[in-house]
Amino acid sequence: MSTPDETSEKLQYLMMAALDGGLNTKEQAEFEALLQADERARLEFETLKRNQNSMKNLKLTEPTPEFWDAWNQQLFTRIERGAGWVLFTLGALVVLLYGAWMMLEELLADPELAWWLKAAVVMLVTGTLILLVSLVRERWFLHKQERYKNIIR
Amino acid sequence: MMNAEATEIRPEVVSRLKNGDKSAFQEVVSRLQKQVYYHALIVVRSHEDAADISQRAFIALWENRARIDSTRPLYPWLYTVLKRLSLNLLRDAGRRPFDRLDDRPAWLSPASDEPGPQQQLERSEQAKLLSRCLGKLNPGDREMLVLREIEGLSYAELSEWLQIPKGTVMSRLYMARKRLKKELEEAGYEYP
Repeated sequence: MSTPDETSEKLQYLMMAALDGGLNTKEQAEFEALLQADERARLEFETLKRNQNSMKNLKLTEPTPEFWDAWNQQLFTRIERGAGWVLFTLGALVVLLYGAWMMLEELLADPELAWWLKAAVVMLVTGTLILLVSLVRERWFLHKQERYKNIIR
Repeated sequence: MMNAEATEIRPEVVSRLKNGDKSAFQEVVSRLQKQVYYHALIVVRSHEDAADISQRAFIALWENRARIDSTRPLYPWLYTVLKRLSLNLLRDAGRRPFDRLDDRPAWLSPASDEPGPQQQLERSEQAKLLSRCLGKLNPGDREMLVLREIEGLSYAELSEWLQIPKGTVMSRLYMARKRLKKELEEAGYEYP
């Protein structure tokens, strides 16, 4: 004799096979017997069948033919510009860091500048660095936790 | 519209792509662009976002071409990237069912034109309600249902595309169908 769990699993299997056209003659007879004995299962099956039929009357909305030309053009433009942006960003970062370092050196070496202003500049730079490191660390942590990061097959 | 056969790319083309051959990349793009686009559309339910996501998946393919294994099917690789990008987009934008997507062009529509205006209207209303209820499901359930019921993918194809065992396809499909039934009942759906 089957346990309730086994019967439920069997019914689920037969129901899915019936909906997807995968029942053989023996299973068909078994499924019909089960539905006759279980009114709730019969109602559930009928509803699922109707939902399936309703879905079969739908299609994914197609974009216009011109859409694909634009899509193609955009893709290759994005690839081309991608490399440009990486170089631009790296270059800009180096130039900005160098500029900031030069400015800081000059400011701290200036004997006419008040000590409290120098301290404020040091605090500003240190704070920015801490925020930057924290942001990079957070990004790195999120990247490590990313479920699909290993996209190499 | 979508079928597993159409996603098969010859290993020779993948090898050329691996070596940075742009014509091989173009060949892959022209073979897979619609599949990738429609797959993204099912998850994000917006044409604009699907266009962006599908392009980003191909950009990732080009940028990571050297890491591709040319002996294995390419589509599951692209699918993994696509799924990550789509889920990230949904998460970042905080997009949930019934959000501003209602104002966008429909992602689902009636499959055929009905003869009379009354029937057309009914089909159109039915399509809207089903779209909305499918939109309330989680992306995995929605993907499973649309690929099976609308796109007609077999269990074997679903198993290959979604990278899950065949038995899991059946149980996930069962749960997805039950959840859609619940959503439709809650929305007061009247069966034809």
